[in-house]
Amino acid sequence: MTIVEDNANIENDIGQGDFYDTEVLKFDRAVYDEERIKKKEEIERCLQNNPYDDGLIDKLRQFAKSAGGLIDDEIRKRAWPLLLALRPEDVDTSDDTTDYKSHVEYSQVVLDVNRAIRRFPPGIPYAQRVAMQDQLIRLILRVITKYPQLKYYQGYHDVAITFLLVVGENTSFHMLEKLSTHHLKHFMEATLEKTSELLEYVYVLLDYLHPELCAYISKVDVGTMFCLPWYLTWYSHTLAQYEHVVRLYDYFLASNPFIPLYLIPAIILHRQDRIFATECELSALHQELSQLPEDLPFDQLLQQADEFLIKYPPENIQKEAHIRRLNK
Amino acid sequence: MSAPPYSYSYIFKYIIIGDMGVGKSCLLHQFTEKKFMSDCPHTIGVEFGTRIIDVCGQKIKLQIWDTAGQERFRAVTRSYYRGAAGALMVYDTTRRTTYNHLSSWLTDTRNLTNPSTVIFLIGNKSDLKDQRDVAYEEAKQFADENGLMFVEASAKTGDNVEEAFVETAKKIFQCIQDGRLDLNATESGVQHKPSQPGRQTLTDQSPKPSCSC
Repeated sequence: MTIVEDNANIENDIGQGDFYDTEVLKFDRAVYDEERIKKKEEIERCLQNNPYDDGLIDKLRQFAKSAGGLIDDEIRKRAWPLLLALRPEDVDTSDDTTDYKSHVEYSQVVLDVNRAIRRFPPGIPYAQRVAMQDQLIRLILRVITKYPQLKYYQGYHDVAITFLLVVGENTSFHMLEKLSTHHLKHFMEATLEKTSELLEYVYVLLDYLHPELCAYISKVDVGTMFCLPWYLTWYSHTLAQYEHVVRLYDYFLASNPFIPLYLIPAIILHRQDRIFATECELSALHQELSQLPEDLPFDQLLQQADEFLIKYPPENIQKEAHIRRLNK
Repeated sequence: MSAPPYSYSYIFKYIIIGDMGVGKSCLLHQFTEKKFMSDCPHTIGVEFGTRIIDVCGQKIKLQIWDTAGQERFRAVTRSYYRGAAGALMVYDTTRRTTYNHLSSWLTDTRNLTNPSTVIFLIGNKSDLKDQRDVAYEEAKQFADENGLMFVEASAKTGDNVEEAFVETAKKIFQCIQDGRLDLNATESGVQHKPSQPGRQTLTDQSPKPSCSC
């Protein structure tokens, strides 16, 4: 495992590094097989094209969605912003020197970030981790200060840290700004009402896909609490392996914003044998359903999520989900 | 034939509630794993833990629902209060605001649980003596006035953690024996499972009225 290889450069990297200039944090030295090397070369060639070439983003989307995603963080650092149509010159590189201490969410964010140690690369030097925690706090408060209608939720920092680790503070701000006003906007409403309604889609979809499995889970009214952390954090709160988190983010950034939600029934379906083998009792089922094994075939499940999205588009199931929710 | 080690006669449902960052998940982890999780992440929604304990010679399975502390999750965690036999209400002895919010947590608990639900107040982080922000006597008085059981505990050292969970179970068991808790009532938070682990239906069999604790 290597963190930033040259610790002497840490101070230079922290705070100003973005886009093409920071060292990339690596949790594991990726094992490259031939296919990965080939794919990486293809993506790198593609990235040499003009960032304003419309075809570039389409190609990057295909790379992000096909097996293995964007391969490693060197590529991600350059490709992720482009997937959100963010070009290098869109990034404000000046240091954010605002004092956020008086922000109403300040102490909540600090408490959460201080507890997010697990999300930093293992073995990260203490001073660097503390510096990154400060960056993370600033990053989050910068977004919710600029958009006061967006409310901070516990789990938002799990999303923010994933970007901070890959693309650096300033680029993360612009990416989060886009995501928070689109993909994550319902999570950031004053209440979880809309999020809970969206999570009802899981049952509507399951009922189409596997009525028997849906009935089994519904019998004890296990609800959607088991997958709430998956959805709110794009799975980063639950998955232990960093490589899996960034691979999922590749796909999500390249997809319809509903994909993180449609992935839930794909995971449940994949684990149906374990679920049917679990006693049909609330706590037992909650516990089994909330498992997110690291050996899930994510590439395959993500593609299934896309298939479900085509077959059962949100606009068709929205009403049914709403009725389900009202009946509760 | 002796009963398998995982057999138990009762299931008690608990909830753990309180402000964010008071150490709810750490208390649960200390109780179920006997370990302190120093980098315990925040809870989103609810998490679940379980442990079988021995109370008055009876094996009791504690089913413990650990809830998220952030205000915005309260609407979705409230449904888990229903049918809790025990509620562990936690504050942080080093942060007065978490203590000041107790009456709101207590109101929720009283409104959403049964009159027989045992509420145990835990002042966590008692190991951080020089950072104390709430006096023991003050919290004790609050507990007495509201009829709550109370200890100061430390999820870090394990001090009083076992006691809080077990004393709650003893009190619930006492209530069953006194007949104050009706096992047949739905949402009593207690299930009686005479030597049949894994059974899910409630039985109408009365518990043996013999407890010497």
